[in-house]
Amino acid sequence: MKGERLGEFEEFTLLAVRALGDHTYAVPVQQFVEEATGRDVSLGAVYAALARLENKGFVRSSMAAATARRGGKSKRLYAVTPLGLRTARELHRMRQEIWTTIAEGRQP
Amino acid sequence: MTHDARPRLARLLLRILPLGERRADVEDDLMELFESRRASRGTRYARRRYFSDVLSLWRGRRRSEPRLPGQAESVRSSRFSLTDVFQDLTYAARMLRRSPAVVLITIVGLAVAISVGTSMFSILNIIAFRSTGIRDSSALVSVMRAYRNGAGNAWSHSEYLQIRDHARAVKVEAVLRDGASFSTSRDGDAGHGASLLLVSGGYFAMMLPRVSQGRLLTPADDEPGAQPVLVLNHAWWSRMLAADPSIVGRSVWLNGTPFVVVGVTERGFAGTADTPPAMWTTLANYHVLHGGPPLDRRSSTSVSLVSRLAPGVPIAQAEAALTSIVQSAGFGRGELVDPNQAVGPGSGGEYAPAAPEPVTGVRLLPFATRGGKNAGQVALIVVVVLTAIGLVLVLACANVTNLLLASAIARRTEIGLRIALGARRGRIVRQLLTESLSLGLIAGALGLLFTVWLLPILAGVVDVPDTFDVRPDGRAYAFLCFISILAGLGAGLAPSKGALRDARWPTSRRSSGHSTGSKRQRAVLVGAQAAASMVLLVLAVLLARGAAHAARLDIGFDASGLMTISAVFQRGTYDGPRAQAYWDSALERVRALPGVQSSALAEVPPFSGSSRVTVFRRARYTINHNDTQAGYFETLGLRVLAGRTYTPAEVSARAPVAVISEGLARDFFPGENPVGQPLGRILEGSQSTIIGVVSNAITARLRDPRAAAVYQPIHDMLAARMVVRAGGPSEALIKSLQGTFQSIDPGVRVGITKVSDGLDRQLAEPTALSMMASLLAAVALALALIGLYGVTAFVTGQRRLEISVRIALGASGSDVMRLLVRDSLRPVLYGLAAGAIGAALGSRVLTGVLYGLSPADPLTFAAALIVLLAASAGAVVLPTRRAAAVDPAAVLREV
Repeated sequence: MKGERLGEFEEFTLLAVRALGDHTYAVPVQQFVEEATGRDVSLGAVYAALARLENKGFVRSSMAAATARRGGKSKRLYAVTPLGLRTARELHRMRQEIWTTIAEGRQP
Repeated sequence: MTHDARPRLARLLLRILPLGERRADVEDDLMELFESRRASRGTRYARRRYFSDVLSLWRGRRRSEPRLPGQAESVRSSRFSLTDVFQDLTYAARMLRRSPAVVLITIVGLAVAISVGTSMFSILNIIAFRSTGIRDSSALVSVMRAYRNGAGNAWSHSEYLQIRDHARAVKVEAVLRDGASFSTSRDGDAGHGASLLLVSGGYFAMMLPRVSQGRLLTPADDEPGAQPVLVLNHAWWSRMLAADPSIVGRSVWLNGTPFVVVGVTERGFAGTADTPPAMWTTLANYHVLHGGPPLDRRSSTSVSLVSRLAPGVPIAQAEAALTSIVQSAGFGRGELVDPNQAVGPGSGGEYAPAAPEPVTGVRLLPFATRGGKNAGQVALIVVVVLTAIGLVLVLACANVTNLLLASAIARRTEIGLRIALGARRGRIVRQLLTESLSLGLIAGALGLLFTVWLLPILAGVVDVPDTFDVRPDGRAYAFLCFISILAGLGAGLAPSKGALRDARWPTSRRSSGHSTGSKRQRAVLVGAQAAASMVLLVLAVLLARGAAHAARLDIGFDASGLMTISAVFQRGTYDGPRAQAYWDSALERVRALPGVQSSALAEVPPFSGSSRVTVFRRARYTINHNDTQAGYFETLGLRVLAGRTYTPAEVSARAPVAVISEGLARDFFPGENPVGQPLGRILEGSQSTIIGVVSNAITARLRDPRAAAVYQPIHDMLAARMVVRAGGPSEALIKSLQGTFQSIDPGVRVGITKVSDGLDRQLAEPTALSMMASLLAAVALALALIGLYGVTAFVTGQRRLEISVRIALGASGSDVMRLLVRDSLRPVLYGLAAGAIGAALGSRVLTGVLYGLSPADPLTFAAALIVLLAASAGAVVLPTRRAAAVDPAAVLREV
């Protein structure tokens, strides 16, 4: 289903794909998330998150042409879709608003 | 190629992970991560992470809408496939192979239980649930003559002919009331005896059985002068003639006359008789077999009538039609049968004119509900046997459950791992059920072999007549399958539940198996086993004591030295007066023989069948009716308690007098003197007067301690038999008796039997019953002890660490023993108590087969309790002693 909300781990994964400059694959994403969060992240979890994100329409994947690095085999590359980007931005804006509210000490 | 540093198990798990086209991609990703981690954090770290990554892939399959990126949804759509079942089966086979001892014990135990259960069921099936083989038996009715208060099934042959000829809408067929046994050899004295039933020509057409050889009897065979023909019972033909296919057209000699076999019934056809006969012939052959003139319109030979309702004809309409015939013919107003004497014994003699009882009409009783005299008895046996089967099965299941519980606990690690790897719980339950179900089915197959072997033995033990088919039939096979599956499922459910609950991963290697749930489960199982064994043991002991009791039962006379002589008078040469002369001469000569103390004629000598009259007096009340000579009482040794017995003069004059038994006098004339009372107060319509009371004698069935009997002067000399009391050894006397009878008329065939043989046959029944119960109890006890031993060994094994700590802290060996034995025996004690209560409640149904022994016999209960306590203590102490003898230092070092 498209247009759903993002879970925390999904958000990390989505942002990692974006941060890695789109057209990245699972291994860098795993390494990025692990480094960014400081906790062990399993490859299975990354696959699952990518699959869910793709299902929701937040990322899209494509089979890349063979690269030299992986012994000439093709692999699945991921890129964030405009919808994914909008959703992540919206999430970020909502958080920001909340933090601003907290900083200003205003009652909602 | 360098050594692959990735964990081997993880590689294996990865290989069996269904990844489809994504495999290469995923493997590359994993490898890349592994290499990069190895470079940065070392091999150990990389290996650990690699393992958890592979596991995460498995878990991912289970949890998050299990799809790998790019994986098509359809791959996992089928939840249950044949491949899965096959996988379960191969896995089950592997698991069962891993612990052969446990599996062997389980399978053998289950197989024994299943085969005992199936054999019992088969016997029951033969005796109680036996199908009659009659097509559409719901339309079949017994034609009963109705009196003012009651109904009977005895008609005279002439009445049958009148009804048959006048009934337009309703077809009526006749069956001779008394089947008789005949020698099948040509010379008349050796060879097999075979029971024969005489039926009217349309009988088989009404029963509609198919035929397996030749043809069945037809009305043409029942015409006067027709060639004597026979139809054989399939079971008898298979057993006694080895299913000889060339039998049709050959002759079987009965009573010195050749009968041509025209056919064999289909397997399982028993007809209307309680005990199926070996062969059937037509009523037209009556005189050939029994002597006297052929049956005709004047014959009062007793027959019972059956009818088949035409489709759509209500029972009331048929009843009305027959009633009008009976009423217009004026049955019961002429010189017809006294209904109370119509229940004739032996070879179906002629009935003398007696006090007529007006027949008020005809009642039709559906044949299927006819149940009759045996229904209550059969129901009781059914209840007892099925309960016993159930208990043995419960025991066997409890045993298997125990073994599986123990192995399930041992397998918690495995199950935990499987769950961690993404197995759904349902899948694991299915796996465990597959395992126990295959145990059940293997045991069932083995049980089938046991049954095939056990069944003929059991059938012999309980003396199933050879006209019954004892091979297990479809119903028995179905029962075997059913209980095998039930045992498998029943045994597997509890452990799989427990195993799932306790499954953890990663789990400690030294898990104690002591979660409260499984502990309670085991205690309940042990208790159930103890309870079931208690019930079965009480049952067995009660029946054994009942059998012993029956052997000591006071039958009211001394059976040893008592002999019965029956004579079969040849075709038409003898009538009443001639038979009278024959017997008179025989009595005279027999009394002159050395060793003979006394002799007398009677229609029903002791234990030679019974002539029972059922009267309705509040409840059904059965009276044994016997026609005797005056000397019968003296010959048996019955004491005269009041009044007198009849004189020889009264017998010759057929005086309307009767002697009754003490028991009957007490039941019908409480607080009154029965002497001088009309017999009509007991047997409705009788004109006789009671002239005396004699002591009780059990002459028909040991089970019937009431021994209600009416004796009247004998009048039917063709149906008479002689009772002889001898002082000396009877073997020599039998020879001289044979010579004596031979000298009177060599044409009359004479059979001499010892009354004690008949008594022994009666005793065989309780003995067989108690043997069956003992067999069951022995199996039950063995199963319970194996189970108890196994559980105790397992539990004490699990408590090794605890025991070691206790000993290390100063507990003595006997302290530990006491603790362990107490813990193990507690559920046994609860179970025994529950079993004793159950047995006390349940044993009441046995009252009828205990021959006067109280079902609450305290000695029985005490004996069963002591045996079970001693045996379970033994089963507990052995493994406990081994456990208590552990070397605490060794165990504690392992920790």
